[in-house]
Amino acid sequence: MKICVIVKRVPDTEANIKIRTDKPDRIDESEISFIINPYDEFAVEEALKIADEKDGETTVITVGSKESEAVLRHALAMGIENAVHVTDNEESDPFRTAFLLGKVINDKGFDLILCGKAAIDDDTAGVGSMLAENLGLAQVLVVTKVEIAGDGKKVVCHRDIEGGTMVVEAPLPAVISCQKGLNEPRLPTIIDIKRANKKALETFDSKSYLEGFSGPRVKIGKFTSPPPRPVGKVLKGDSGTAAKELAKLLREEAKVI
Amino acid sequence: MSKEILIWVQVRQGKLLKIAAELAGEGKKMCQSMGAKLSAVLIGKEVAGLTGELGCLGVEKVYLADDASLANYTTEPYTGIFASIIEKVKPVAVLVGATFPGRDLAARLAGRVKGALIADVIGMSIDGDKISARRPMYSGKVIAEVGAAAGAIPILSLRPNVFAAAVKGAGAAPEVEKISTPAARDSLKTVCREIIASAGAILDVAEADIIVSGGRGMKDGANFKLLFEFAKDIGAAVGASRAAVDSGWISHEHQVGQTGKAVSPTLYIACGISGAIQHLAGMSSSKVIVAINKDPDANIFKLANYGIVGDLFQVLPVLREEILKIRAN
Repeated sequence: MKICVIVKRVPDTEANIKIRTDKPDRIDESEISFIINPYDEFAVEEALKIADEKDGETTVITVGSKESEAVLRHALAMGIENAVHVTDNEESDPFRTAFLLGKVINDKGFDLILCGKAAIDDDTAGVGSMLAENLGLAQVLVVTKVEIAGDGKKVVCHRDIEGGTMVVEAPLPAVISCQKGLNEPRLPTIIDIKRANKKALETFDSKSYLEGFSGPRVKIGKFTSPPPRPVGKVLKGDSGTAAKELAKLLREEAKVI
Repeated sequence: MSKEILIWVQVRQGKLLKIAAELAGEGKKMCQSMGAKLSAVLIGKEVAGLTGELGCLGVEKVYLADDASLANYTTEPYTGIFASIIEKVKPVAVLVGATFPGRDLAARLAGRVKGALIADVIGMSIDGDKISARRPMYSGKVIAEVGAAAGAIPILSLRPNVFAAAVKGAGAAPEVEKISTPAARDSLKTVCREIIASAGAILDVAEADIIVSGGRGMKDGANFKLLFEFAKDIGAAVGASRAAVDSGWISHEHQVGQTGKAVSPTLYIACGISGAIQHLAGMSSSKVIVAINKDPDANIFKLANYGIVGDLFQVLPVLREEILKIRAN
């Protein structure tokens, strides 16, 4: 079984995001650290688990700048065998990324393609679906359980829906996006990291795959900071008094109950 | 051909979701600015009876696909049906709710019709024929203005609870056009085997008007019972911080924040949540925030409209009683 994982480099969840003063449609990356998209780690872990059970071969792919190599190395350190880097310096755009991935993946014969349920930077959650569309494959999104069934011909997934879980069966190959709750991603050891850093990567320039690309579909204008919140009131008195006062304010002042 | 805006009116257990009225409300406003007609796409099993209600919400035309095989959302055939309508109508915009099925559909549709996917929209402005949407990025740490490139149909998913719902009027019965289900390729066919309702949860955090949320200060998983009881009596959903979820106190679908759900309820009650930046990113667009925390320096107080420096285990039961009393009057 050949399994592919799509990963992305994103700012750390604890990062303070500042808008660049010279380019209001970009964030200031100078003081933030970058990590592998947390949801992609679930995808990497699941690929490793399935490969273990089904004697599979695993490949990780990213589209992005030179710096994105670090997230490939992280996936390799976790145990993925092969890594492909599609170098691209354009601002990330799901339509473009899915186009490039479709071209690169097209003839590789993967049985299963895993990705995170969304990247925490852009949060469009578009690449998985668009890639599935480009490859003519089924998709199951926001998945918390994956079971390969029918002699590797299909997959049964639990996917999150509002208020519950939907059990979905899909033919393979398919694209599956991974949600928290699917597994506990392993932590690579120092030895794993050292070994991963010595591994060779397959690198392609996005330019060789852009033929037929019709351009980005969305235009990002400027970024703004979220509106500041009003200055709040701290309610005095013991717990009981404060709670009573709070209920009154929620009714009479805020009018929300 | 007259301009049209298409909204996906999602149905669950035979009823229109609240988001349908919100899409109709925002859709109608957009129609007025753009000189367009508001049309709804209604897909499901035995849903034809809902067209009257859509008329009351201001929908002028309904594209109806009613079939037993369409009882639950699966990517195909819903995408196939919707794409066939888009190809025919060439709408000026497509609006869906940013629910799990809505975001699934919007993304696949955008891939199929090469549309402009703009997800989780929280604001909109129209200038002539140009739509400019506001959406959070970096989990709400930044708000981006996003528009469609020339020639691409904007496909927008709108965050629930943000846009004003259409006011129900008398409403003329809308024109109804029946749509057949296009045959799907075998490689695309998925099947919904079963739906399992989540245990204990009354409402999903992404859809609830009120969320009562617990963090590290809950001290133990068993204590979340307090929040579930509160939620049940008040009509709220139970949320949680990453710390609480990672401690195994509550399951991941309750998590609010950058690696959980982004929410915009009317009232968010944070109990024992310190306010890590990744949590704040997911809930700072709530209309009213209440913080209950022992630590007066907790970050969460910087966002809160109302704060109580105190023990949540003492505050919450009194608050519940008081709200019930107020509501009873």
